[in-house]
Amino acid sequence: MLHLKEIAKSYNGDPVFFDFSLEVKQGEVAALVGPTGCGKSTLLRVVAGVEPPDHGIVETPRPPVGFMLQDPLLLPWRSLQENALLGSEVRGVNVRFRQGVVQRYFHLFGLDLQEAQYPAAASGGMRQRVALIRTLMIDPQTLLLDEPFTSLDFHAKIKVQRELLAYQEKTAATILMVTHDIEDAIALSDYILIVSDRPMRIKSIIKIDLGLWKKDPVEARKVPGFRDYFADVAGKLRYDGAR
Amino acid sequence: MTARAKALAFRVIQLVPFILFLVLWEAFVRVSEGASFFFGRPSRILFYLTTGIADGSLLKDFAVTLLETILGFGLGSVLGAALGLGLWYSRIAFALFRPYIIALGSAPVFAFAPLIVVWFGTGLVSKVATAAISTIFVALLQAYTGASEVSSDYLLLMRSFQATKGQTFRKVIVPAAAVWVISAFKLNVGFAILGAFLGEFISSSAGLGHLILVAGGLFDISRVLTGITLLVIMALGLNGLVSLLEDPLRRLVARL
Repeated sequence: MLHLKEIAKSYNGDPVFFDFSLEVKQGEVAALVGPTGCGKSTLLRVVAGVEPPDHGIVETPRPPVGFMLQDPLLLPWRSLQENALLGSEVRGVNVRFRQGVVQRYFHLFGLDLQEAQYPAAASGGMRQRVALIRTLMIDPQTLLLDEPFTSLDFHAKIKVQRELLAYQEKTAATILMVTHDIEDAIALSDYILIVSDRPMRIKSIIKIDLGLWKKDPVEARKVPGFRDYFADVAGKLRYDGAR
Repeated sequence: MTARAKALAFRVIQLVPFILFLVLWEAFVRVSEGASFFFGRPSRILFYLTTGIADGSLLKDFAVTLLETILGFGLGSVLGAALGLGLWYSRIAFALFRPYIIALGSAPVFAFAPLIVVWFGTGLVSKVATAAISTIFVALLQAYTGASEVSSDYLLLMRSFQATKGQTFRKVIVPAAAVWVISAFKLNVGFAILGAFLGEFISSSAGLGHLILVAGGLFDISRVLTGITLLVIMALGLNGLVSLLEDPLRRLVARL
């Protein structure tokens, strides 16, 4: 279980969040939706352990934790495949044994024959997919995804989302995802956490139940209740903006 | 016209001002009495070059200076780059040593000459030392700047993988700073030649610095210019060599 207990974080005395508590059970997918700059990315950084909280306790399930940052941050001197293997290398895995896995991800994410390219020659969407492959290559039990689909066209996005859901189903990984796209949040999550502006707090939790269609991001969008969820989330976000 | 032919034509056109300058220079010193004493003569330089190469004396001087330059360049640049990159490990250490590094780097190399002669004698080692001192601070400061200017986002990425400081150094810092290190190497070609030349100027029995010093004493301007020409050729050659090494070096550090 991913468990955050009364965590607080501030920059120069300006609180990003305080007394923030959250539980995401093993195998659940939770989406954080809220206004820009409210502290969602900061929360993910604290959960990922790259920034310490000022107070509170962060408990994550057994490592590794896969953290995909908003910016793909590919190293320009490495090919796309070498970038995808960076996390595995750092974790001391012999990358020769991971060639097959990385090739399979490149194929599944629609990046066939792009492995040898360098980031400078890759589009934003390609870079974002490589960043996600890099995150998945360490076989994380917890996935923290910060706006993972923003640069993808619809076709690529659906492809990636299907594979992400397949990975989650296979490994029972816990996913905490930040997104601005309400449809993505509904299609992929077990519940959506709507958060307020700074200092960030959870305003509302919307449980999503799309039945069996949850496993398919296209079919999920066709479920009659999908629009109701959309209206509910959008309404709650609008209320926050109007306030 | 193909791109290759265009490039060749461009090179030929590029040579025109130089040839024109040589022709005008030759004409000027031929018609002006005594001018060759002050300005030398291109035909004389060509004569010194051909005879010196034929009898091997110029080649020997060239080789001596080249050896001193390469050894000093290698020692100063590699040591400086290693120290500069290594200082990334400790910002406190860099802050502590920064004034000393800048103070020593700012001092003219020529001022170290008496010390170098006392410490290393008048042989090859003293010239290598002068060349190394001329290059080490440039390499150190460039390498440290490159290492310290690596985007903090990359460091965050490495922390997200729980990378050790050593892994971050190998996989991010060194490759990212490579551009700075290579640019330091390019700058250092000139500094290394200057260092070796100064070393020869102070005390020597061979080398292009020695040749220029002796020729200057005899007011043989054409011979002085012959030595300078060879120094320029050496600088161009070494710069070309560093440029050739740039890609393999980048590939090498990318695989750390």
